[in-house]
Amino acid sequence: MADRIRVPGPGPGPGTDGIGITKPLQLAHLLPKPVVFVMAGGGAHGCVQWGLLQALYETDIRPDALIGTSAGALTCAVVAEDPISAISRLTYVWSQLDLDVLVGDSWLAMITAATKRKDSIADSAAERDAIEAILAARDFSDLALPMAAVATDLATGEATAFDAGPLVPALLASSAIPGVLPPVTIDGRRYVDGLASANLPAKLAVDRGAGSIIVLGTGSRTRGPAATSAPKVVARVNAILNASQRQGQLISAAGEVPVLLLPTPTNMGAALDFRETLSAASASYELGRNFLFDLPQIAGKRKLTRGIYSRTEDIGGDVELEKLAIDVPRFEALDNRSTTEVRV
Amino acid sequence: MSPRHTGARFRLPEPIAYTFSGGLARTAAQIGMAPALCHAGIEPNLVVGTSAGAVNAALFATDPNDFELAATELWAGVSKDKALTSIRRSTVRGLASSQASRTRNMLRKHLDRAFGTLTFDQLSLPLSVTATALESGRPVLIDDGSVVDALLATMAFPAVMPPSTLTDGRLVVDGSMVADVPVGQAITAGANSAVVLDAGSSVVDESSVIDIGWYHVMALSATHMLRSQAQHQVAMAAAKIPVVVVSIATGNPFDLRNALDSVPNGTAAADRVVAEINSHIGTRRRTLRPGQHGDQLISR
Repeated sequence: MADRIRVPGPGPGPGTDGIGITKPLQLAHLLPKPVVFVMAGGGAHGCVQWGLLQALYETDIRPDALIGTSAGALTCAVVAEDPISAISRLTYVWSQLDLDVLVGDSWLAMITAATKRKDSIADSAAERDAIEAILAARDFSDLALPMAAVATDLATGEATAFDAGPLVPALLASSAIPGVLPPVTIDGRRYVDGLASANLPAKLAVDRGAGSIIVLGTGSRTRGPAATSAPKVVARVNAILNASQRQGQLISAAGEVPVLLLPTPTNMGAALDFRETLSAASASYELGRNFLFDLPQIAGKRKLTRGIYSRTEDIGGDVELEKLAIDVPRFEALDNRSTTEVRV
Repeated sequence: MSPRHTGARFRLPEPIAYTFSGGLARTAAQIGMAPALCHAGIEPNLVVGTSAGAVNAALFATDPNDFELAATELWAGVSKDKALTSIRRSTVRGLASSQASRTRNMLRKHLDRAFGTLTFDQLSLPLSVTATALESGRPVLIDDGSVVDALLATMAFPAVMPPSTLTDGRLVVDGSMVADVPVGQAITAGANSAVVLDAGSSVVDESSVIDIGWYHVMALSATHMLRSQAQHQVAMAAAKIPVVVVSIATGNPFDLRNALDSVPNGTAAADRVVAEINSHIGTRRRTLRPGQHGDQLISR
């Protein structure tokens, strides 16, 4: 049976000394090295990671290496290129990004393409331009930190982590939304978006030698009223698939190393809606910061051991999971302050 | 049939669940697998199925002895239905809101011919089929009411067919979204061991992704995604109960017209797995322990 350590309600406010002055909090010593940041894919939802990074940096948690999928891979590359300036550069990136930047504005061409037998309905020229404008690095060796981008081998479905050679093709492959952006050929094999195999590559990070894992997700919207129109069903199902695949990755990884699952907003808009990115990022910062301030309570001030460290609502409550529960310790914080207050 | 083995020398703790995976055209291989497994002496106490595999599961639960014939007849009918076998046309229909239900109606005709008004309580083996609740994102087990309605729900592949409404009002889509290999659901249904009739490997030939349409890129990627989730589920279930996996890695899941070609592959795969486990356990009859036995789902 999985260990369960429940931490009852909050003490004074997050990180305050009781009179409202924020104390700096140092958490890096709790994490076995190498610390790997794992960034999930999720289109515009990637903005969540920018807010979470801010919260991590404030508590002194920095990556020794990074691995990411799709939009998460691009964020990883920005951080890996120059970890010090990453936050301010990401602020700039997210203020510039929108759908036109990624797929161009040729909607008519896309509709025409959809009726033909082409391998995608849009081309990747606009996305390539955007990536080359965001990053100065052109090869993985130009990056300051080790970093991997995850793409899916279109023939075998295998999750493939690119960590050497040309950077831009790897990032394009990792974010080649199936059917929308063209598959990318690297060393003779064709690759599409890593979301098809490991949208949250936590297990891959463990296989590659992570000592502890910080999961920067992208928020979710798997619950809520269901719509019946085909596009809405597809979007919802995509989120559901992601969530169930994500759960498997997390459990496999947490059986071996500590996995810090940072909370993310659950009320995200569409994955390709770039209008709310700034507010989603600041909401994530708030969530991440609250969670990290609770971490010493959950961890007991010792180095973290294998298991999932999360808020209850981010992993728990799944009946199927309870039934299958294998040997994965779970450390949970009842972080949702408003709920706890209501209970009191 | 050639004498490949003299039956399974291993036992499985009862109740044993036959677990029929999804995998569209490839699930026709299950028509070969199930009789070969029964022939080897591994007979199920209950049956669980997802998506196209659920159709086979239902036919098996109706009458295990008639399964091969009934399934071959149903699959032959579907493979000759030109409007239904074109993935592109089905997708275009599904996305056009005015025609969204047409694929479902076409499919219903075939299922009505096989099952008529049969209900779950009339089956000779307990059957559960899986679906995905759109609202909660959780797996749903359907084990009562009309068999045809349940099968249409478990096969409601998004963008090809509209979601189904269960009798309790919940909207559901294809079960393969959360349980392409429904071993977790087999445990929920009471199984103490599971035999996975796995037709859902998403691997295709390298040559078939060179000249490929965007709708095939989408569909293929979606199957890869289901499989990555299924691998984790089988691994978790195998930590609790013995799971015997019989898997085929050939055949095109989208080639409904030639689906029945994979039946002999299914027979061969089942025979191979029984022989492998036999040779692995040696001469003494033994009950298998929790863990994955036989084929591995390709796990990377």
